[in-house]
Amino acid sequence: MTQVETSPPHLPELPLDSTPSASPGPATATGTPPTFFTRTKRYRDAGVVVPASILVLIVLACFFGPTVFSLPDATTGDLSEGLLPIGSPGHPLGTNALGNDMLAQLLVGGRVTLTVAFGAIAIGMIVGSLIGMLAAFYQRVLGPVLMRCLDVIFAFPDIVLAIAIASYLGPSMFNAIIAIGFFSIAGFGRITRAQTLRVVHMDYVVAARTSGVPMLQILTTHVWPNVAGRVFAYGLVAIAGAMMAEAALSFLGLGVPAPTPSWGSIIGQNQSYMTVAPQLIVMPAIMLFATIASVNLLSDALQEKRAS
Amino acid sequence: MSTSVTVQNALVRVEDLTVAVVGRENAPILDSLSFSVEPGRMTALVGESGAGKSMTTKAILGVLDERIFRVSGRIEVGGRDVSDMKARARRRYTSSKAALVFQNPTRALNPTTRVGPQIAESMRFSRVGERLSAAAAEERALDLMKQVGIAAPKERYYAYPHQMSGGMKQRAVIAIALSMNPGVLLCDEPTSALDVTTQALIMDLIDELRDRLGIGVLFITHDLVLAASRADDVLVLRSGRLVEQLPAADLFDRATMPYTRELIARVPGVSLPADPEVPTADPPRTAQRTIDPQAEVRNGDEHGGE
Repeated sequence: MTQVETSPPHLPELPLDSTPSASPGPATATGTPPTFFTRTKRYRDAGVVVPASILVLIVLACFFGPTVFSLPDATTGDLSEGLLPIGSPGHPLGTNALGNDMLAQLLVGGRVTLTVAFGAIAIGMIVGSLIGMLAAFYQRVLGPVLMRCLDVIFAFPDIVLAIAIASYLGPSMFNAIIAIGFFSIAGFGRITRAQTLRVVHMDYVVAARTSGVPMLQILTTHVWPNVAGRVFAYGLVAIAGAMMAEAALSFLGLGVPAPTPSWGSIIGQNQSYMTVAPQLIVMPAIMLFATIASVNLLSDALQEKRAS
Repeated sequence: MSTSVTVQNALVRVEDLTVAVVGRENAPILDSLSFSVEPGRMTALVGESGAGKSMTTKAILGVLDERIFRVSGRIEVGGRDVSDMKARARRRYTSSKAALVFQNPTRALNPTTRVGPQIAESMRFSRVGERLSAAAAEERALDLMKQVGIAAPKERYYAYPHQMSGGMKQRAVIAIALSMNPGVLLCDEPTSALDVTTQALIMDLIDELRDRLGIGVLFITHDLVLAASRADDVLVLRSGRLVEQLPAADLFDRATMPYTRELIARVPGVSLPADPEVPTADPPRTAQRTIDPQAEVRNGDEHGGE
């Protein structure tokens, strides 16, 4: 079966090797079952590892720090120990006006901020990307209807919508997640739809659709892996926005109710001490900045890695 | 070790197929096309870009958007008239009888998924026919990979498309096409993205599959030499009309229509017989026949500048 008959008449017949089936040759081990090692190989790079480590450190410190270092309770303080400066014995980051330990406040407050931000983005990503993928697949009726609904969400300023929802539902952590998650749905929907439209006319999707592969299977194996990179990149940016939104809601008293601290509410409660004890405002701001910056750097680095 | 593939008797028969954009029915994209694909035979559809070659496969598979295209005529797949079936039922039925081999293997394979699972996918999940378990589908996918000449299928099963060469990817695409046991392969320029040597190997593979499995092949190409050397019958398509239909062996010697002769004259290194037969207004209805001599007259001017 090595005879070649297709060479145009003016060309000399080329001596061809036999087909690969006839000569297995040295088997290049291109395909091996996936392992954690092969999956994560390309992400081992300073640009990814440094911001990711900072993020992991912040998350671990917030959730386990107060217990591990047996810090004093964040919400009970001694009024006689109010407004201690940084480096005071027993209170490494000082205290606020009510004598609450600032380190404990920052770490416990971080729990709330991170939970609300990640929770809200998780809701936005799951609902939004599902809406986006369906809108790209069903372009006749369902798609336009879904996208116009997202346009309505888009038409409101984010924070105004979140304030409206949070004040309607009442201040609680869960309601803050709902309020912020709701307005982030629109962005995810848009991004996912645009990315899905890029994929939906590829031959492998068309082939899967015509051969009767169920929609869920197509979405999970063919569409989502091809759009997930961009959606996650957007998600990391949106997490930064969600943290800001949570801080704003808490600042306004619509987030987690007092006395539970969050980075936003710490800033809000201490604004009257700005001239006396500016560190009370600067410290939670630094925490917000460090978290948001590392999230953004991680997002950029991951995007770069995926592109390469 | 080879998997048995059931062969349907009448594979694809197209009668008076006309496709037009809605609202522009006076300028159809495909105009009264009639041909058939027989088991074990390769029918080549030849024509220049825009002649309607790919449109023909899309019409057969029923994937044209009926809001944009108006399709009329009779299309039989696997002995059953599908032109009146509902879109979804028709696509499912057709996909069990006919499979498309895409032109560009890079677009036909999902870059984020390993090749083996892509071959196994429709066998595991398709609502057409019986669903296989994960293990059975993997076993059959490995068998298909072996059948299409992929060396070391066990290792290639877990390879990503970018880890394979163009010819290897096209073999994987053919394996996917074969996974539903089709009676006919619709090959839409399956080799035009490949270099000449790989092209020959892929053509060998299609030939071999046709002989071994007894499937019919509708082979779409713009390459006259390839069509003449590999196919059994050649249909020459121009501006949506069938201009000439003749056995491949006779293509270079007995082509009568001016357009076909013009195409042949443009193939480097091929010379036409010195004394061509003059096409008659009413050609004999034999195996070598002229479909529409008027089309030549009407379209004669458009082709001058190419």
